[in-house]
Amino acid sequence: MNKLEGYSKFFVGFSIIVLLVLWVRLAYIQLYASALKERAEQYIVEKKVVKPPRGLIYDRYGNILVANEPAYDIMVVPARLKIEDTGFVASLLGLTIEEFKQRLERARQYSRIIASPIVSAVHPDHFQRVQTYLSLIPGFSFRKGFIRKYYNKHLAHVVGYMTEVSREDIEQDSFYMPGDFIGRTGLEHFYEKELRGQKGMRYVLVDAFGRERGSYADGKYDVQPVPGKSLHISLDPDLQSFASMLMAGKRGAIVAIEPATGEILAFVSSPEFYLDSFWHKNRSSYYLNLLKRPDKPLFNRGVSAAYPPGSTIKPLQTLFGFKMKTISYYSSWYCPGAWIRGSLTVKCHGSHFLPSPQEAIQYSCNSFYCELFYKALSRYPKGHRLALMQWNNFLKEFGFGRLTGIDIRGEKPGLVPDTSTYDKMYGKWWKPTTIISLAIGQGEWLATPVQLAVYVSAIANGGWFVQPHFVRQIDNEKPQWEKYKIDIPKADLEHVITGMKKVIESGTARIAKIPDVEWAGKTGTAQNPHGEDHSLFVGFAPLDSPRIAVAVMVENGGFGSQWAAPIASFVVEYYLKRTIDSSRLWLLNRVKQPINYEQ
Amino acid sequence: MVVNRQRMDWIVFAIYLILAIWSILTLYFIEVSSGEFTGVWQRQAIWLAISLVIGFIVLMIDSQLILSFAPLFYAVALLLMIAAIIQGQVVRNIHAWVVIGGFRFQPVELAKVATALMVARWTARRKPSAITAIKGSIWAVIPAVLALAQKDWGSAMTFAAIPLALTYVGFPVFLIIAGIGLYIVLLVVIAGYIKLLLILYGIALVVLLIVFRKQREYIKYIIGVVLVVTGMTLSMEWAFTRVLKPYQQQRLKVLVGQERDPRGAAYNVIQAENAIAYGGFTGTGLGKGFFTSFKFVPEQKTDFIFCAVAEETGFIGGTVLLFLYGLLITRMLLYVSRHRSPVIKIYAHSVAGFFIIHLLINLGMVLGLLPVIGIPLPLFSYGGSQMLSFSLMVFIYLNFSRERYTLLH
Repeated sequence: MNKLEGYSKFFVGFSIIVLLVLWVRLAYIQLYASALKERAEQYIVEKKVVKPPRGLIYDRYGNILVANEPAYDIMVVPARLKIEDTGFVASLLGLTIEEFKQRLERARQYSRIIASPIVSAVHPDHFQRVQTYLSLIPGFSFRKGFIRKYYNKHLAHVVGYMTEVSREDIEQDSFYMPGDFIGRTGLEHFYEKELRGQKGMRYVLVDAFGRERGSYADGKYDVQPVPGKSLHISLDPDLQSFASMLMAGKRGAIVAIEPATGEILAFVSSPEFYLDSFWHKNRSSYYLNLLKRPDKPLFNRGVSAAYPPGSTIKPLQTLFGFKMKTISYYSSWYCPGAWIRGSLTVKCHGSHFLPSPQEAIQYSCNSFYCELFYKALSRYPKGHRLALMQWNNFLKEFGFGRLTGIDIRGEKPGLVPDTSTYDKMYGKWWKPTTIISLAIGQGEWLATPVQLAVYVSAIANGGWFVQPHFVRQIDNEKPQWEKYKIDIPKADLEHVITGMKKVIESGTARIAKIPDVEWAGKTGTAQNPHGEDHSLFVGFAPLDSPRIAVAVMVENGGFGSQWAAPIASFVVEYYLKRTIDSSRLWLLNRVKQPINYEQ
Repeated sequence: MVVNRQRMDWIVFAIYLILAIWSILTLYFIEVSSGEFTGVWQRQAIWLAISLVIGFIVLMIDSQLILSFAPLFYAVALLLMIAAIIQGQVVRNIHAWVVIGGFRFQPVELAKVATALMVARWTARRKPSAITAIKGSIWAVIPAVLALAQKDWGSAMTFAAIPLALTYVGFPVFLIIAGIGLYIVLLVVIAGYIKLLLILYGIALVVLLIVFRKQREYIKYIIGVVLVVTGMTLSMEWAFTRVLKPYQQQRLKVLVGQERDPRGAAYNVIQAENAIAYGGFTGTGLGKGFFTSFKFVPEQKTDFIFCAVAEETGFIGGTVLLFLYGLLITRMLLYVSRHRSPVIKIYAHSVAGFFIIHLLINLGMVLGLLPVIGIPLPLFSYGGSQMLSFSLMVFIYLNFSRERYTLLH
């Protein structure tokens, strides 16, 4: 122990050197570096965020669909602000006096001396006038920003709108600062992280009057912004416009998919709204109006609205019958105009004499499907629970009752009932007849238009589930989309497709016949307890090597053949031929009519 | 026992009080300058009061008893750190906070006191040697690793105080110098100046070969050392660019202050420098600091509090503050250098070690010499955990300082 005398000389030496180095540095900064001091006296270093341009969106053919336009953020330094006429300034900015005071208070809380935006993304047209007046008032300054420019008017539900970030957004993600915009719906929301890029930072010298006096240290510390990534999407802009025109004045949705890939060609949810208005001076009142409207234009019917799929799923039920071996290609039974079992009666559209599976699709015979489904459920004694689960799994493979994974916001899974659904409703005491309306796509079964489009794609492409999507490429990167083979024999599919072809040739959708195009489809009517039934149609074309699969839903449109089938036929015809045959113009004119929802 | 008692180290106590009260005054004048009173200086005063009460209780406990409790204290501190990792609150991305009875504190601060005690007790009972010193340092490695697990790099680095203090027992000095060298090399590698570094090695090799050209037996050692160092540098470079993913690289770069953090680490440093420069020789006067008043320096009440001192009281104030810290450190070592118990001397070194490392990292950051790593200025930054732990360290030292003739262990 006697070695431990005194103290550690190294330690003391180290401490003294550290303190001396710190002291010399302090002396250098405070006494010697006069340039530093001068700068500190005259200028303030401010850091200014440089916003990156948001990623662009291109259409299927490589043409620009959504771009950026320069706009301006109006910044305010509360400590320097001297306003004489608050009312005038507020109205110039498109705000009420109350709003203006609130925003000023927010800026004051952020910092009294550092500029923060009071109104962001002011349209360049409007900015001219604002700048003329505000540049005379001390405390206001301007910063360059961007607004979105849309090259197609019918993108509301695809691209989605953007709004200013809220306090919660800022708390959740440190990327955002007051005055930034964030994608709220559609692709803008789904790909927000890809589109937004990375912010840059500039260090600038600002004099006592708040004027910028050059960059600090020759930009040594500056960080360059990284522009957002571009999206290349599969939308066909002409088809999109045409389809939107077809849906004008109606409520409903059109989803058109390329069956081989799952790429979405057209996506309409009607009524629409206008994205441009989200960048105008009075955007907040526009938005509030949209919220208040009874026809809910902000509601994306293509992915969020779930209805009973009605007869559109009869081809699928036929496949299920083949799978469960309850029917063969040659089965048939007599339909007396209704399906009757005990006290239960399901009405049919007429009486069908001994329909085969194909004819059942062609004429949409309810009795046939009730019988088919009833047999499938009661195939094993007391085995209906098992059979229902088999049916449920079969449907899930086609994308029903779950999210299909479409890359826009708001998708709803719909519902494919299973045993637990009915246990909850009826206890354990339900029988095949209790749930027989599932046979014809009614009852608890709910599907969204995009699910219908995916299902009909799977029939068209030989039994492949393809994840529906818009984005083909993000910059140069190709995202991976889900694709798998559903276990159905080819012969079954072809049999069903022949039935669907007959629907158009001589069945329920004769009206949807297109000259020189052979195609297949199925009408449907979703029962609506609150009013007129919803009109539905699914189909694909051309028959050999299909290029487009489409699902159409028209709210309160009555029978499928009334609205949905002709609309689908025009979408298909336009996509394949880029024109409408003159023999069908009368029908086009009829279909273009709005539906009166007042009654 | 009473006969053997010597007077307490009143000078250290006085310096302690001056620093703590100066801190409260500084906080008060920051609030005066900025015109926003958020109750910070009052809270700091309450923390000082609590610290004093605890301190006087510490002074009443028998010194040997305190040492006997060191292992328990150490274990509790480590358990609290683990608790903070598992279930603690996350503040500024650091998983280091525990809430007990409405109070939020960082157990790592407690671990500093406990480690200083534990290391002193453990090494004092063994024969002083390099091996003992290195083994003793392991007591500091454990909390340092836990602090890393809390993503609290700054606190982890402060445990370097222990090896530094243990140079007293024989911790090899070359290891410390090699450690500092390694840190500098790492900074250079991350900053991307590796070519420059390799050229420097080459120059060093040539110079050494020329100097030692007569002593042939050294030449192979020189070449060997240069090769090893080069290899290590290259493997660091390789690990940094190939093994780490880009976002991890980015984080490291920001951590060592090489990448300009878009959220503004560079901004802090620039504004700190401006504020200090603005102070000049005499300062702007208390409560009149321009940069302080407009809150240009973020964290000016906590990690960057030195800016307010340097701006408002100028070079004079800054010098006095540095001098006080220097006095505190040297006084502790000198005062106990004649004490009988090695444990007291080692403890004094550890406490002084924590002070000097905190000063180095904190003021090095504020003065723009070192990367921005947030740790407090001891006894000065606003914050209860820091105030309590450094007070505890000082009061345990004061307790020991009375035991000149007893042999504690």
